[in-house]
Amino acid sequence: MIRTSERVIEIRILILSDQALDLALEKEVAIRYYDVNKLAFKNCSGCFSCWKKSERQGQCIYRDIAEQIRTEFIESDFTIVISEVVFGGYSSKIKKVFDRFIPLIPPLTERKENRIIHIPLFPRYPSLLFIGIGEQIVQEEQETFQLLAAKNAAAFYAPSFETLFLTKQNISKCICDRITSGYFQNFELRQKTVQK
Amino acid sequence: MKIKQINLMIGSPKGKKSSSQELGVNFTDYFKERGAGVTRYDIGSFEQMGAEEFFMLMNCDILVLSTPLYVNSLPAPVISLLENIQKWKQIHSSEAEQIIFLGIINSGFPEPEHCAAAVKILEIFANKSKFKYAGCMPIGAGSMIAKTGMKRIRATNVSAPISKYFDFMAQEIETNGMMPKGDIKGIYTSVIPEQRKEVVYQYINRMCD
Repeated sequence: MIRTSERVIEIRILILSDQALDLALEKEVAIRYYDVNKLAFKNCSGCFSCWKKSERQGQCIYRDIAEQIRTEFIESDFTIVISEVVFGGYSSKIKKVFDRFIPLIPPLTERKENRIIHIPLFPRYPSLLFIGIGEQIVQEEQETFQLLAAKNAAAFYAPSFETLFLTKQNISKCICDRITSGYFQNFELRQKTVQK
Repeated sequence: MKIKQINLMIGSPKGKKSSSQELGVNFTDYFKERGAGVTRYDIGSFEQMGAEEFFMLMNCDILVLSTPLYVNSLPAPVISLLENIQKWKQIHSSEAEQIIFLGIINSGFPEPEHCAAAVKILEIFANKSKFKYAGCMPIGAGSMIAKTGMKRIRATNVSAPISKYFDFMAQEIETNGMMPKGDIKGIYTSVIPEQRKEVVYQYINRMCD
């Protein structure tokens, strides 16, 4: 929930980060934050049981913290993904979380614009903010990171998404500034404007 | 170019039951038939890999990574492996400079274009790690390959492009040390011919509904 002086807007924010953050926010701002370095959970086994027709369709065989994160991801309005840029992609720690998100992508597909895509499983999905971290991220890596973020945003039906690049020193301040400046309240509107 | 040794890394956690294994083995068969040694490494074996094993992994002419596509990118353990290989290469820069690196990425989607970001990631990895990057082969409908079996695919030639594609790319690497460059869509291939895709989608949906 974000409280401003004028109004109260309920926004649920989930942060998945491979960087330690120091979020010095006012008490009213409630954020769920996971430092993935501190989480112990299994890698996706690639069994795709979560896709097979059964009572457990949509569920992972592993019952660990990743299950909770999946639920919080779907229930959030915004999810912020903070990852070191590794060869233009996410770090293995962040990717491990995304691999365990496969149950959120249903097996059913449909054709859209001459491509096959998955049919949404949930009525709503969060908007996404991808933050790539690095001291000297070359253009080729930035473009690849943006491409990957765009593909993931499409895979998870994000109503809107944005990609940023920061250095380690700037992350916490950047997020705090954006929260207090009302960035997330205007996120979808702004993205729609940009897309036009 | 005489290829003596190929080390094949299988990026699927399913190991020997995987499409990645089927594809990797079938691609390397071209070189095996011409006298090259092929050693396979499963992704699980890299978790406890020490310095000696890394030297063995890098003792080859061609390093092949055959991996599935998970959520538009490489599986997390594969990224971790690539990070470790790059660290090793930084320390041992004088060794293994002439190794050719290439990738085979299989997407569950019929369209191999879904592999685009992962292809770029492999290219950046190879260049940063100072391999001789030969290119990457993105394959569509890869999840069907383990079920059908590449031997059957080759024998019946149901999916015409894939076996020819592998042999053509292997010849190019043998001759020129790399795959032909060009329009990336031109080098993508799918197990399923275009005219059969609609039938396959319907079949998959029936299985999962």
